Amino acid sequence: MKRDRLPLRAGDFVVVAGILLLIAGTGILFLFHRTEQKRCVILQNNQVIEEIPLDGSIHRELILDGEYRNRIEIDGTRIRFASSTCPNQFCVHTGWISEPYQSAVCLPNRVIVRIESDRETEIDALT
Amino acid sequence: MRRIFPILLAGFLLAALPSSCSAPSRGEEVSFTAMDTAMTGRFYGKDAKQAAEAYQQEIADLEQLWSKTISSSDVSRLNQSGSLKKEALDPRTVSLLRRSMEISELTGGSFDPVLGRLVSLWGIGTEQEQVPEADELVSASKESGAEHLSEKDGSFTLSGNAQLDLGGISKGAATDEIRQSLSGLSLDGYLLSLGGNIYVSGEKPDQSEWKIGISDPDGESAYLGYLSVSDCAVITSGDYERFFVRDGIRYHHILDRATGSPAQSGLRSVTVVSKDAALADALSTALFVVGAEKGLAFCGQQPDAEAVFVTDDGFVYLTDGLKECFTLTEEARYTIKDGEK
Repeated sequence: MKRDRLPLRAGDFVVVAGILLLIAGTGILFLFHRTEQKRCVILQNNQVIEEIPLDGSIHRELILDGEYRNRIEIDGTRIRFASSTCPNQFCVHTGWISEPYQSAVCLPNRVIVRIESDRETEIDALT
Repeated sequence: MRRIFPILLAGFLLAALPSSCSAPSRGEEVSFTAMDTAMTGRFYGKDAKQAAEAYQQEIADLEQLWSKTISSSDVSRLNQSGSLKKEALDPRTVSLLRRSMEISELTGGSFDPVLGRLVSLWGIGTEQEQVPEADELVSASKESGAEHLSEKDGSFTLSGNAQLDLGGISKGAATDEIRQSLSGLSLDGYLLSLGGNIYVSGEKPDQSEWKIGISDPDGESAYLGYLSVSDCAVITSGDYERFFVRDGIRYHHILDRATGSPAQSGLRSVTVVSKDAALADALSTALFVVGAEKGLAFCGQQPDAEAVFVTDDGFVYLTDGLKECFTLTEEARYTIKDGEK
């Protein structure tokens, strides 16, 4: 017995288009997620002020003013306090950081730079 | 409608694929400055977000009680007045003061909560850091020592001009307070770092143990080795943390009350592992002051204190309880030594 072909209705196209959009959207999110595996998070006064991918593509400086002035340098996959007007210079002496268990801090200017990564590292934290 | 279901199913499966392939979540993370240091926390489980908020709030509360630089804090008020009734102090401060006296006694005074005069005199890590004159050191040393702090007739009293400095125990004690606050929440695991004073609880999403790196005192690499542990505090005191150099001599912040000067015990760092974070914090300072030999002997008598000693000649000494958990990664520059020093 020959089966009748069911005609496609407008609603079917909407559903299919919706699914295709969903797949494309999650695919793009997935790719974005994969390429942005490591990022630095910069906080001042306990508020996140910037998140920057450490995927090798970004080379820039950031000036943070507060009680003192920090000059922060991003060099592809690493970040540091390049200079600071704070008295003890601990932030500058920390040097470059690039791993999730590392952070660089300028307490007098209330600035924290920490690294986040989606991949596992050998250690979880430093004491 | 029936033919739409397979399409829908396929669509949702495809949509779900990327998230199931991605790396495990890093949980809820929080960073902030408090207690003159940087704090971080990572929480896993249903109440992770709530835990991160509770952590930050509890630290803010404790800072108001224990800071030496906030004039209305319990510690500042006791330093200013010299004596306060127990009722005038927060119960958490009362508990911290008792704990400090208890651990000072346990360590024969090597942990000293009444070092305020010496700490101020040296000013290490502040704009006023200096090498004091000999007579200044003698005078400040006389006004230091836990014997200057007493609890009598419902009051805590500091004798003479003695001043509290609870920097060697307050972050550990804060960790213990936070653990209590978190105990009512649904968490699979968490990591607290109060300026490098670590506490790890439960497990990570991949069910592995936490790995805590011990800082390389030379700074040539980030860490010299790591401990694989859970449900304990891991706290280090090292001469590389806060110091200044004058005329080629390095003056670090771990002061020995006996000399009034930075401790010279042949150590670069001591890491203490204990379920009791206040004890771990105080002991890391006390064991740095006494050195590896006495420190190993001391830990041998304590039921809940294990330690890693890193000497200035590149040796690493471990107490028995840590021999299975420690992995040395900087083998070219450090050597594990067995037994008593």
